[in-house]
Amino acid sequence: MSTDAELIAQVFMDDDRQAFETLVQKHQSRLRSFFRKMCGGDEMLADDLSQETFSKAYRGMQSYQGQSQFITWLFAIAKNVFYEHIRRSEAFTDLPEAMEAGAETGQDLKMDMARCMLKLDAQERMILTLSYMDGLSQTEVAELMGIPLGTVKTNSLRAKEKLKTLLSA
Amino acid sequence: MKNDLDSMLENFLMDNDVEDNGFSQNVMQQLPKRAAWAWIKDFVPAFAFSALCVFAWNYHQLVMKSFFMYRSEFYQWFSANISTASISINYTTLAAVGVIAAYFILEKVMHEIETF
Repeated sequence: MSTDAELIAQVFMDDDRQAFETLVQKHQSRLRSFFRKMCGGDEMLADDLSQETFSKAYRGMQSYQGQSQFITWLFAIAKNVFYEHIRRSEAFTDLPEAMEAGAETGQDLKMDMARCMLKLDAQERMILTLSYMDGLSQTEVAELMGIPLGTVKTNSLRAKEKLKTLLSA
Repeated sequence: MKNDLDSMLENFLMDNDVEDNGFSQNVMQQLPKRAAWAWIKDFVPAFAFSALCVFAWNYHQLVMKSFFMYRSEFYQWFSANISTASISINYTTLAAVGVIAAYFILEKVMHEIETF
């Protein structure tokens, strides 16, 4: 199987759509999962934002310098797509109805966690999601989000404090 | 040692396996449509900005001319040209406002279509 670098080179040099589709197949799971966490489990919205991210990545492929991993670059685009979305729409305040209705027994804790995550502001939610979901270091999160390391540390601590309070309420 | 909250966050956030189920195919099918929409979003503000520049340029010429003229000549020139200048400003302003309004309406419509 080709590496990301080889696939990117094929897209960049030959406008090879098949290569780009392979890149999408390789990374869709992490990206869609990221957006699902950020959107409180709204799968349709998460897929729409993921599509927009891939579409922007395809159009901006020439700006990818190869200094970071492709997935890190993709997450940097995803961050902008997400902020653009919340600027245009209402903030997420509760879980989608479909998710509430489809919750299986024994998933209460997960639902509580999802609900509490939505109470965090977008930046705090993103920092926690990137740190835990992808196992990125705080330095990597800071770099990816384009914010100082100190802000990542403070927001991460504050978000956890908020979560503790919300979960115990 | 990890505390409870860390473990809960790990459990909640690390479950990230999502099946493709035609998603990548859908992305490829949507690429041209999304590219076209992105082009419109890039182009319309640029067009509106150009219209504003034309307007600003007209106004700039008027201001600069009046600023550098001798006072008596300025009044003569101003009274001779003001009507023409005001007509040109009105048409340009109208065009700029129209383009900006069209952009907002189009964006709203496209957003509704996408949401729908």
